[in-house]
This record gives sequence, C-alpha cells and structure tokens, in this order.
Amino acid sequence: MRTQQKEWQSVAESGTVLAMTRHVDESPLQTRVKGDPLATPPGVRSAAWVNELGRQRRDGPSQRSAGRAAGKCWRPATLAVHAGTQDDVLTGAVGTPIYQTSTFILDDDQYRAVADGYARDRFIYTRYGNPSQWAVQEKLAALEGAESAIVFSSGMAAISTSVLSVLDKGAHVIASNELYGGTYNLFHHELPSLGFSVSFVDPRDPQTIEQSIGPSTMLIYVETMTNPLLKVVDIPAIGEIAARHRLRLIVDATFTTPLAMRVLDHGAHVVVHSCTKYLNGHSDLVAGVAMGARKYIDQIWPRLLALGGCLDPHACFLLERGLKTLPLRMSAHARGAQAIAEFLLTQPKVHVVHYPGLPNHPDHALANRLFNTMGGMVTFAVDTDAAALRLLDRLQVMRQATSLGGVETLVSLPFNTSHATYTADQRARLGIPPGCVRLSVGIEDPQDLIADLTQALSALDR
Amino acid sequence: MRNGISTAGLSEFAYEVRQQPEQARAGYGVTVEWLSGTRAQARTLPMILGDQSLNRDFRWLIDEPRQLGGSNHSPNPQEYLLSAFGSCLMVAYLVGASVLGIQLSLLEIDVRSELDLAGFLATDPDAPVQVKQISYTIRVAGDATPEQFETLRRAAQAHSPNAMSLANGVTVEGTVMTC
Repeated sequence: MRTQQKEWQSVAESGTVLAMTRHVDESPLQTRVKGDPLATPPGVRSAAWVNELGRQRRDGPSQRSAGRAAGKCWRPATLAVHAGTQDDVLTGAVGTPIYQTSTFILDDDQYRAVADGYARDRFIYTRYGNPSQWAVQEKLAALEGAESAIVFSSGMAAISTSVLSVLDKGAHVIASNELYGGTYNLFHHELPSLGFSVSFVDPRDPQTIEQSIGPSTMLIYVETMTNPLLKVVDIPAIGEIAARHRLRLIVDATFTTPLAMRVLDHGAHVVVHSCTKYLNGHSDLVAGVAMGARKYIDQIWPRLLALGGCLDPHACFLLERGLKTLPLRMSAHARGAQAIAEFLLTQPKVHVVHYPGLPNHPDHALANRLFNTMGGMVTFAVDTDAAALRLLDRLQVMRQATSLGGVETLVSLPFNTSHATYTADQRARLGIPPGCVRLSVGIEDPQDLIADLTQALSALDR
Repeated sequence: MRNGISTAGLSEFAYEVRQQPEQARAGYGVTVEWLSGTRAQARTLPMILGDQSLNRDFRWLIDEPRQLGGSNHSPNPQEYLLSAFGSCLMVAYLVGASVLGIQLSLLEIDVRSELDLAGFLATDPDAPVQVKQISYTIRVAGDATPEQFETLRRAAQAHSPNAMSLANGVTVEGTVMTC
C-alpha cells in the first residue's frame, strides 16, 4: 500500500494525471503502467526465436481493479453493478470517471507497446482504447462470459467491423433470411461490392444451412430471435455445424441479451449486440459491442482502428450506468410482456400473438430450453394495416417509435418501418400478416399498459 | 510495429500452440489447370489453420520460355519454386529480426539455382533431374551488426518450412484420376 501511496503522491506533485487504478498486485512496475498491468511485453531482444518469447494471451484488456478479481463467481445482478466499474483512486469518487479525452500522455512503455504489437493493452489514443471504454467493455464481457469485448459507436459498427474481420478475399457468407434490416442492407448491398457473396437461408433449418456451405464459406451469421415474428433460432445446432465445417459463427443477440442466453457457450465465436436496445435500456444513446475469446476480438480490433467506429467516452459512461440495472429491467420487461401477451390472447380484435413465453408459441419448448428469460418483445396482429395505424394513434402510454429495449414501451408497425421496402405479398410470404404490430414492452406497470391497449383496441370499433 | 510484425501476437500464438497443438496445423492446397501448351493457371484451395477454414481466392499463371516450347507469358515453375523459397525465408528473417528487436530498412533476397535439362530429357543417365543447388544472397540494412545479420540468416533458414523442405527433401506421392 505504501508503494501505491507514494505513487499517488508523486502523481499529485508532478501535476500529471495518470490513469491510476487499484491494482491487485502492487509491484512498482505494474503501478506505472497506463493500461493493463498484467499485459506484459513479449520480451523482444531477450529471445533468440519465437519459442523464447514470454507473453501469453490474457482476457481483457482490463485495468485489473480489485472488483475484477472477485467477479468470477458473481451472479448477473452483481456483475451488472460491479464488474469493470472503477472507483476513482485520486478522489475516492464511487463509479468510473468519464475519461473525456482523445489522447494520452505517452512514455516509453506505450511506445514499446506499439513497436511490439500490444497497443490494445495500453492507453494511447481513444480510438485504440480509453478507460471509459474498458470499464464498460469489462462489464459487458462479464455479463456475456466473454474474455474480451469492444464497444462501438453503433450496433451496425459492431456488426460491420466484426463481419469484415473474419472474411478473406472472395469469401462466402451464410446469413439468416430474416435479418434485421440494417444488417440485411450490409449483407445484400455492401458485401457483394467488396467481392463477398452471401446466401440467405432459413436460420431455423440447420439442414439447409449445412447444404449451403461451399469451399469458400467462412462465416455463418444469425440472430437469436427473428424480427418481428420472434421465432427462436437453435444456436447450439448451428454452432455444431460451424465447428464441424471449421466456419466462424457470429450471432446477434440483441433481442435476447446475455441474461437470456450466453451464445458463446453454444458455439458462437463472436456475439454482437446493439447496446442501443436492452443493454443501455434508456433510449438515450447509440452503441454496439462485439464479444468473444480474446483471440477473435484481437482480430476485430485492427479493423476498428481502420473503420473507425469507436465509442465516445461519455456514451461509455451512459452505457455503463444503464447496464447496472439490466437484470432488474429485463425482469420487468419479461413480466410485462408475459402479462400483455396473455391479455392480447383474450382480445377478439387480435388475431395472432407472438411471444416465446406463451405455451402456444411454436418455439416455446426451444425457448424454454435455451433462454433464461423470454424478454420484452411481443408481436400481434389486428385486422389490417389501417387498423394498426388507428390503434397506434390512440395509444396514450406507449410511444410510437422504432427501436426497442428502452424503459418506455415502444410500438411500431413492420409494414411502414422495418419491412417498408417489402410488398404486402412479400411480407405475407415472410409470415408477417396485415395489421402486424410490434411491441417493445417497457418497464411500466403492466396494468397501465394493458389499460392503454384496452382503450386503444376498443376505439377500433368506432 | 517493428517491421510490421507483432511480436506480441507471435508470442501469444506460440503459447496457444503449446496448449492446443492442433492450432498449429496448417493445410494448404493448389489446383494447377492446364490452359494450353506449357501455360497453366494455379489457384489456391481453402487453407485449414487449426479450427478454421480460410478462403484463398488467388490465382496466378505459369508458362515456359519460347526456347523451351512455351509462350513466355509468365514465370516458369522453377522461378515459382525459387520465389516460394525466397519469400518463405524472408518471412522467417522478418520474424527473427523482430524477435531480436532489429529494425530493418531494406531486405532483398536473390535466389539462384541451376538445372541440367539433360536429366529431364533423359539424354544423360548421369544427369540429375532435380535442381543442383539453391543459393541465396540476402541484402539487408537495419540497426544490427553484420554478425547479427548472419546469425539471423542461419536462424531464418533453419525455421523456414520451404527452405527446410528443399534442404531435407520430402516424400512425394501421386495418383491418377481418369475423368
């Protein structure tokens, strides 16, 4: 402890603010590191060949706070509050400071990190890494059970950067045919321009996925749950196919969150989320994350540098703050969604209700097997798109807006939002009926939401 | 990064291979297709590296000089052999230099060989079919002494898969599939 106090005193006297942290190991060498104290140089000049180098891959990067060491056995609610969060050692302020800086004062250690190829483990420039990013990355990785994470400026930045990092020239991708529209646009319009080919297949048909694999196939890309019909995808089955054919599997788990399912345990190499949705949960920022083994995330990092989609430190603060209540919020979302889905089932003006927590959902058994929580998304249909529009206009609590996963209930219609580029026939072929309404159930009292729906549905008669 | 090589990444890979030897297994392949005369096109097959299949979307042409019955449109097989030797040696030299902390500013390798075509033509039963010898010269500049550069040369040759394959010889097997 004396060593650390001396260090802080020296910092104060010099007037130089360093990113000081509470280190588990307080050796003098480690307390000077501006970055990950356990990330060591490989030992250049002291080795004659590669086998004599001394650096091993570690999880992180992390500032290795005291909380990190204790976090291995924590449950999600505790991880959400404490994992990654760094109290400020200079002032004692509780919670991670916002390191609103673009750049960091450099010394020999950081120059060496650049020369020896471990710059991801040091603070150099905020696109490379920033303590605010590291804190929230560590929290996200702890929740997901991942070795490493990178936050991005949007979910699409996370997806595009991750996908491009695993594809070699001329590669073929097998992707779900019910992708989120933004991802579909990337795969359908952008990847072919870059020389990649994509086959869109039913993500719930493992046989077709396997039959689509060719010599140049490198990647399978699916989502845990489809939008807007909330069909459940059997990730373990696809993970097994990917492993057998030596393919990479990237899974977008935005709809389910790490609390419902840790897809990395089921064969996914990289999991991506739009943090804009449930993970942040307050509809007040745009962010994304890619997580997985350090080996894979280290391959994504250089593409982050090249493509540029890093997350601003202030947004990191907001995301970290939002994540602290993720388990609480997801419980409330699921409770409300279940109540609303059961209510909608009883309504004569409602034709169909999709919610994986309902026993009559076609994937209810699969969802029960894979998910710890059924989430907050509910899809249902009234007579026509016109009736659905009237319903939305009459809702008073629920907000008519795209996006999902916020504390407030959001309602949108696939026909004029996510699937607006499709014709009615194409939507019907996808199984999206006329009058389809998608609810992102918030954390309000379910009785108030049901009352809102009741009055809006009753107005459809007039 | 020094010489564009991540020594940290090399070290991590070495440790990974110690724990999971299968991650070091690399499988390669090319298909060589006859175009006309002595002209051929080679294209890479997917490469297996550990638990991953890598797409290798590359093609190149091979030909012989006119004096040997070709159209002289592309390098010939011996030149590809020498370039495969030299480029593999170069990777090993770069890796070795980076491990030793040597910053290079110039690195060129001349590779030469000689062949007695009487072996191919079988006009002289004493003439060897294979190339007689491969010799190379490394032209290098950087922050190391001549002795260090020479030590590095020996280490690079000893660790270069292509150099060692040629130096030690490998078993060659073949079959015919009638189409």
